[in-house]
Order: sequence, then structure tokens, then C-alpha cells
Amino acid sequence: MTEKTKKKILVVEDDNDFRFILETSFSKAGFDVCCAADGLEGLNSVREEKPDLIFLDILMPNIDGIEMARILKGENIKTPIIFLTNLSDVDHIAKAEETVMADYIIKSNTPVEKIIEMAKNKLNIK
Amino acid sequence: MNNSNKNLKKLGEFGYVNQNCWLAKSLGYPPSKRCQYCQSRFSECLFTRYLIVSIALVTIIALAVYILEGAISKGVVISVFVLVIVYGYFFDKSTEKIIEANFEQKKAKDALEDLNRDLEAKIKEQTRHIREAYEVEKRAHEELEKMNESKNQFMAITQHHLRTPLSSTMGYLDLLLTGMFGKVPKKISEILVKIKAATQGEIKIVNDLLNISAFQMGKNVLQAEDGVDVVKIIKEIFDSQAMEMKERGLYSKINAEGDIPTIFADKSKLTAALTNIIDNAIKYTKKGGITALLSAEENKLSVFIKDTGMGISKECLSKLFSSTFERCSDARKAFAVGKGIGLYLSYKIIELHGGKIWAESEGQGKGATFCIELPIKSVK
Repeated sequence: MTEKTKKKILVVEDDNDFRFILETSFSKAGFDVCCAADGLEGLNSVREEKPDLIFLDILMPNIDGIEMARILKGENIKTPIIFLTNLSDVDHIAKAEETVMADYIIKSNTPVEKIIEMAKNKLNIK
Repeated sequence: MNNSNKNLKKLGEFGYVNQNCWLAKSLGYPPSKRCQYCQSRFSECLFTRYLIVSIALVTIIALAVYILEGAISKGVVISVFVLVIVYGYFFDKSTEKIIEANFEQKKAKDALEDLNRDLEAKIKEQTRHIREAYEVEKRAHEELEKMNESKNQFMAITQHHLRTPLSSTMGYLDLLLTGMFGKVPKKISEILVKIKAATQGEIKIVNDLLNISAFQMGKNVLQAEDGVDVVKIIKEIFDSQAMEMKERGLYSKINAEGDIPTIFADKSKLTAALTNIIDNAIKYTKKGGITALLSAEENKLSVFIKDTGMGISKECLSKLFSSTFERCSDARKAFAVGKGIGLYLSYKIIELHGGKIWAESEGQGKGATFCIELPIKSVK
């Protein structure tokens, strides 16, 4: 990816470690990365940074991931979302899917390279 | 009792006549009395009728005789008396029947009304009981729902807390191993690989426990989708175990008979189920290896995981998929430590997919085959 065609990924994650891991990995993979530590920050980032893809944690303070997705949908912002979660509970996933058509990743079960692969697929990058 | 029926008087247990009928009064309500021979009403009794007709005939003959002999007044008196008796039996047969029918109707109506009142009271009582029981049930249900909700919340939080540090550990290990923070010396890299394998084991345990807990809560945990490639899943499981198998000199083979279609399944759960079975096969096989045989017919995909391991005794075969996580003695002897939840989990996952799983073995030392049948399309 050249500087011009660089796709921007927003990582909304309240866990400092995992946010850092994703930020570092996406940067290394050639993406432009911006981060937010909760849903509220995430909403501001989406409006200001206009990312191409959002990795969105579900359980977060202030505004959780599902609520944030709902607000974005209400504002007609159609940036694709991949939910990042450690909840494999079907109810939560169903709730997330009801809100917005989105993929989801169970963080502990998905290696970082797989997350990067998903981002590339979603953004049609070979 | 209304006006039309208030003049009715009960005649013993036989029936009713109109009390205002002077003739009935004078005769002491004969129409409703019973014949002592046939027990039918006199008015309906043939015997009585013949008797009365006979008396009438005798009377007429007597009257004729009296007339012929010139004692007309005596004959008239006797005849009138006898005829009155005869008429008494027949005079108001129809009236009596109507009155009786009316009265019976009234009686039935009263009885019905009584029954209705009784029933109404009983229904009211029952309704009250049901309502009370419903209220109790409703409160219990609400309590249960609340408890269930708390349990779900607890499970969600537990999942989150158990997995969060593990995902960070895995992430950091990946970053270290890919040289993100500089070149890693070979020895340290080897150790990091081991830490990663141990962490993956930990993640698997957490996932198994969470799945079991979800099964036990009766939750539908399947997220099924089309296009799940079972051959690919098995290949990936063998690949993930390739290093260990190579170290132990074990082979792995996949034999697919013809084209194996993709199926409608929950990929991650099915992977967990097959991983448990293949891991077990590897664990209990010292020499030889593992072969996966696949075949498909109509809506059924059959998978056989065949090993050349220590085999399973008949006694153990029946306990393999136990929900009490029993481990049989042979397994305990071979490996002292084991959770015993893996096969139960596999069993539950296959069952939730509408499939079947069982194990076959010719006995100890003769290897074992785990047989799985899965529907190719959704069975729902």
C-alpha cells in the first residue's frame, strides 16, 4: 500500500494491551491506524478520522460496542465493522448482528495474523 | 315452582297428577298408581284395561239384565258407578302426561339450574385456585428469569475476564515471534513457541469449560453456516499437531471417498469437537498413527477417526461420552491427568448438529475408531 492508498483502520478497544497489539500489528501490515479506548472516543474518531474499517470491542465503558454501532447506523455511517470480543455467548453475538451486519472475532481464539487477514479481505487488499 | 306447576302434587314415588281435577281427587289419583302385577301405570297396564273393559261389559250386561227385568234405576246406578271408575282410568291420560312432562321438564330445568349454579361456583373456585397458582408460578418464573439473567451476566463477565489476559498474552507472543520488537535469539524463540502452545492449551480449556457451561444452561450455542469443509478442518487439526506427531513418529492420513461436500455446521464448534477426538487419538497412540476416513451419501457425512493406539475395553466404551466426565481406568493408567470433558463436549456438539457419535474398538491394544455421522444440510 502506498501512502495515498493506505487504508485507515480504527481500533476501538478498552484493553490497553490488546489495543497496542492491534495498533502495532496493523501498522506493520501497512495500514494507517487510529485508536480509541471506549465507545464515546470511538464515535468522535469515526466522525473525525473517517476510517475504512472499524474493529470494535463490545464490552467497554461509557458507550459499549453494540451501542456505538447503533449510533453509527442512526447517523447512516456505513463503515464496515468487525466486532472484537471475548464473549462467545450466542446472545451477545446475535445482539451485535441484529444491530448491524458485521463480522465478529473472538479475540482469544483468533491469532493476530488472522485478524490482519480479515482486515485485508474486508478491504479487498491482496 | 311457577303457577302452571304449583297445583301438581307428588304421588308417592310414582308421578304427579293435577290436584284440581275433581275426578282425580275423587279417585285418589288413580292414573299414576302402579299395577301390582306388571308395575306399569294403571293407565298403561293392559291387564288393568282388560279388567276394566271386562267390568264395563259385565256392567252393561247387568244393566241390560236389570232393564229386561224392569229394575232400571238400580241398573243405572251400578252402571254409572262402574263407568265413572272406567273413565277415571282413562279420562285424562293425555292431560296427566302433559302435566307430568311439564313437571319433569321443570324438574329437569331446576336440576339443570342447580347444576349450573354448582358448576359456576366450582368453576369460580377452580379459577381462583388457578389464578393463585398462576400468580405463584409467574413469580417463580420471574425469579428464575432474573436468576438466569444474572447467571448469563456472570458467564459473560467470566468469559471476558478469563479470555482478556489470554488474548493479550497470545498477541504479545505473536508480536515477539514475528520480530516486531527486534530479532529474537533462537533459544528464546523456542521458549516463546512453548509458551504460546501452553497458552493455546489454556484457551482451549477455557473454551471447553465455557461451552460445557453453556450446554448445561440449555443454551443454543450453535452458530451454523453453510459451506463448512470438514476435510479442511481435519487437515488443519493434523497440521496443528504435525510437530508432536513427527516427534513421536506417528503418521496422519486422510482418505476421502469421492467428493466430500461441505456441510451446514458451526465451524468453530465442529472444529473443537473433531480436535478433541483427534487429540485423544494422538494422545493414546504410541505406534502407528491416525487415519481419517470420510464418505458422503444423501444427507449424511460419515467421518471415522481410526487410530492404532491402546484401544478401549468394552466397559469403557459405554462411559466414553459421560456427562459426569468419568475417565476410564485404562485412560487413567496411561495418563494420570485428564479432564474427561473433551469427549462429552464432542458428543454434545455432534448431537446439537443433529448427528451421531460413537466409538468402536476390538479391545485393549487393538486401536479404536471414533465414528461420527453429520447431516450435510440443516435438519431443521
